[in-house]
Amino acid sequence: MEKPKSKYTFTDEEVIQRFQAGDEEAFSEIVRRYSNRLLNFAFRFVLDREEAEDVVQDTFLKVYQNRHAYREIAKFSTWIYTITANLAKTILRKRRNRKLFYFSRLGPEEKDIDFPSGDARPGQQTEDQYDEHMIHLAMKKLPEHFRTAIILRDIQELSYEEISNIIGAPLGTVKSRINRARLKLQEELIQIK
Amino acid sequence: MISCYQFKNQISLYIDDEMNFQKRTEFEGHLETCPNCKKLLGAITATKARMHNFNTLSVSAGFYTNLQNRILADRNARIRAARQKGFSFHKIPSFAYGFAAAFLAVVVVFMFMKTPPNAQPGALQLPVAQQQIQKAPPAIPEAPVPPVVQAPQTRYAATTQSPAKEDSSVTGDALNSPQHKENLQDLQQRIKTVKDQN
Repeated sequence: MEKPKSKYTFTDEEVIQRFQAGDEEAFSEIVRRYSNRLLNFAFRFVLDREEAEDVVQDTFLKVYQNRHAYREIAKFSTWIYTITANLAKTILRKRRNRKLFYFSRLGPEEKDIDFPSGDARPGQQTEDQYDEHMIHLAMKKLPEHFRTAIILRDIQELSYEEISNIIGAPLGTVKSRINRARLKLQEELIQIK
Repeated sequence: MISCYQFKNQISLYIDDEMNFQKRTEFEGHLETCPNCKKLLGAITATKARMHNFNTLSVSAGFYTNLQNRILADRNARIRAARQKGFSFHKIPSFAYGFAAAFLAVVVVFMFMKTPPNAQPGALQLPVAQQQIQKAPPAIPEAPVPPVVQAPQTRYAATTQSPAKEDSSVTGDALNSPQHKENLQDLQQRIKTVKDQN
């Protein structure tokens, strides 16, 4: 007799199928698997922790409301990352529009970015934070489509195919965009130094 | 042998191990001869490694509770919305009002353009038949006056040819009125004309 699979060994696609069938615990499993990953992705995008958490909560709410919209044509991770990316872009757009009316008021991007401190040696921590801070400053200067590509590739470590599906661009465009984004990032880092 | 320009255009493929063996060999050959491209490759690789090791965030303690509350609130709102029945202006999409306004404007313009250009503003336009009736009637030619015929003598006629006595009932004002005199003159003229013809 085949041993029943533990829910933790199900693939993402199997878990969403169970959720579509009415298993609410499957939704909890999705939240557990993706909450931190999406938070880090959204944070690198909007550079504000509170807004990043709002984006992730909105993402899960949309997944809950539109569970039946997912079809197993693409990977589940592609689907959920696409939702998060679109929500993060909406926040950036709203922020840009707010800036037009309230240009005298500093938006989140003008504030000092509050980076999380990891468990590292004091000296290394300073060096890492300095580097991380510099990289974030340089990333802020990148155009939005470059920043998206480099976050998905170098931070989230998604494949070229997945990135192509998330941003809706051909594979060749994705490869070219990542290449140009990395070169541009180096130029910005040199200027910051 | 590839150039620095070609090297830069394909550096990501090399870093991400997306090159075939031949291309990779050409790439590494260029690296050995070009210190600038070698430095660039080192910088990009180091940045990529630092980004991979970024401190990772975790969701806050209240994240799951907040999410649960939001899902419940959304579910309750949907149930409430489903219970509302009947007509409501809120159900009419906003673009429907725009279409209605545009249709009304077209009708008004059409009605306005249908008005004849010669009409005075505010004047009531009568149908053609009524306009004809209101015009002055055409001049009717006067009918010829029949000749005056003397009344036959009867036994009751007066024996003497005396002028007819004036009817005492006829007032002096009526006889002397200009209208009466005009009519008399006209009659006399017609009698004369008939006699001449005979």
